[in-house]
Amino acid sequence: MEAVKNYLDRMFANLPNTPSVMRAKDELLQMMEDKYTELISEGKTENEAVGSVISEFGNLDELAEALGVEEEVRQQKAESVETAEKEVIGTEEAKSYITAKYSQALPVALGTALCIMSFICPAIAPEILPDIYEPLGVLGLFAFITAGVILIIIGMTRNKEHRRINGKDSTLSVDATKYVKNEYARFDATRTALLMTGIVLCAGCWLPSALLSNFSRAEALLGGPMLFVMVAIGVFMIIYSSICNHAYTDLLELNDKGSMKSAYKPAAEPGEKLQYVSPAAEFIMDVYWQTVTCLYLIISFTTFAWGISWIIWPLAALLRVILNKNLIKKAGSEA
Amino acid sequence: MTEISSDIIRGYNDTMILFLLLKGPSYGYEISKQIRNLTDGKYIIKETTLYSAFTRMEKNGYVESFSQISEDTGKRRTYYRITAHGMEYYRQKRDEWVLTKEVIEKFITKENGNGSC
Repeated sequence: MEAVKNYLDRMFANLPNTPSVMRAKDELLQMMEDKYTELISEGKTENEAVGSVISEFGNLDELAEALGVEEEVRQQKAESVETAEKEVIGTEEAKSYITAKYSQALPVALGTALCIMSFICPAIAPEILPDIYEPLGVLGLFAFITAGVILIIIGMTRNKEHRRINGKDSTLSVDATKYVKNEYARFDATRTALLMTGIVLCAGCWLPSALLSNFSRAEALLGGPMLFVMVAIGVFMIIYSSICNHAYTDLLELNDKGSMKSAYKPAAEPGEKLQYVSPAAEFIMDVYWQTVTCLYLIISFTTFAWGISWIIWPLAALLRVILNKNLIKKAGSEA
Repeated sequence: MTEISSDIIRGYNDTMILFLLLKGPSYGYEISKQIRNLTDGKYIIKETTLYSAFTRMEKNGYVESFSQISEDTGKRRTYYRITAHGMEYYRQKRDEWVLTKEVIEKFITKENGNGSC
């Protein structure tokens, strides 16, 4: 039955993603499934059954009129020459792109974390080694930053070999689209967990310092470094999850937005993805928590008003509720 | 082996489907199977043809669709039932065919063929 489904997917891949097209696809699948089940129960082999179901399917021209998509079907025929030029990315290549993106995420995120942790050196050097603290602290700072920057550069220069994907003049094959969608759905929980933990770490980075404020020696020794360590780990998680997320979105964006291919539902659906009113709105909400974290860190580090800057979090949560009310497309308003 | 010309039959797909619906509501595969059996496999309706006919006839008000769980498989299916308007249309097409057949018959010689029409 997989073969029949794939065949139907391929036939519908470039049709517009409208309710009438989706209904047609469902109905046709229903009929083909019925026919397939009966042929199998009559003792036909899988191959014979698939063969006769596909040969008796008909063609899209006939559907075009009923669905009001004559224009698209005509275009599809004209374009079949053109899309042949537009290179098709298969599952293997998509897989290797995702792997490459992951291998890029690690050094970049780690490098950034090292740069943040570099501040620990000048902060604790005077406490541990009061005699030679100044040169050692600064030396440590530069050592960390250098290591961090090298890692970032290594990460940035990776993933150059996927020119066809980076160049955006290619399209995903139907199988590859399915594969990426499924993988993306599986990654979603990890991404959310990483992002949320990262944000919590950044938001709570002043806690150790505040808790240790009664022990001045301990605070000086541990409070400052802990703050940077927590921010570094938090930022690492946020950056890592964001870059990995791009592995999937980069690939999926290669497909034409309005076509059925881009609408394939992943097998495991982690709750319907929210629909926003515009691409701009989607972008804002996508990077919302990263932006808030960034603002929070910048404001806190520049003013050192940790006692009051936490107010950003409840305010941000409130703002998000308001934005959600206005930016999310109401369910069913499209149909 | 003579094969049926899709140009000729196209005008009568609706008639066949409506005829089968006269007996009661039915769904896609059931109808395509009945068409095959009734014609001894001489005419096999394509899935796309059948679906286009359903949508067209629904738009014209000849049939209505409804969703129902099938008794034998327990799956949800789209069923179609004929409307009064559809019955009227069926009668019209029937009379048209009787006349068409009568006219064409006059020009068909049975002498050097196997006479199928």
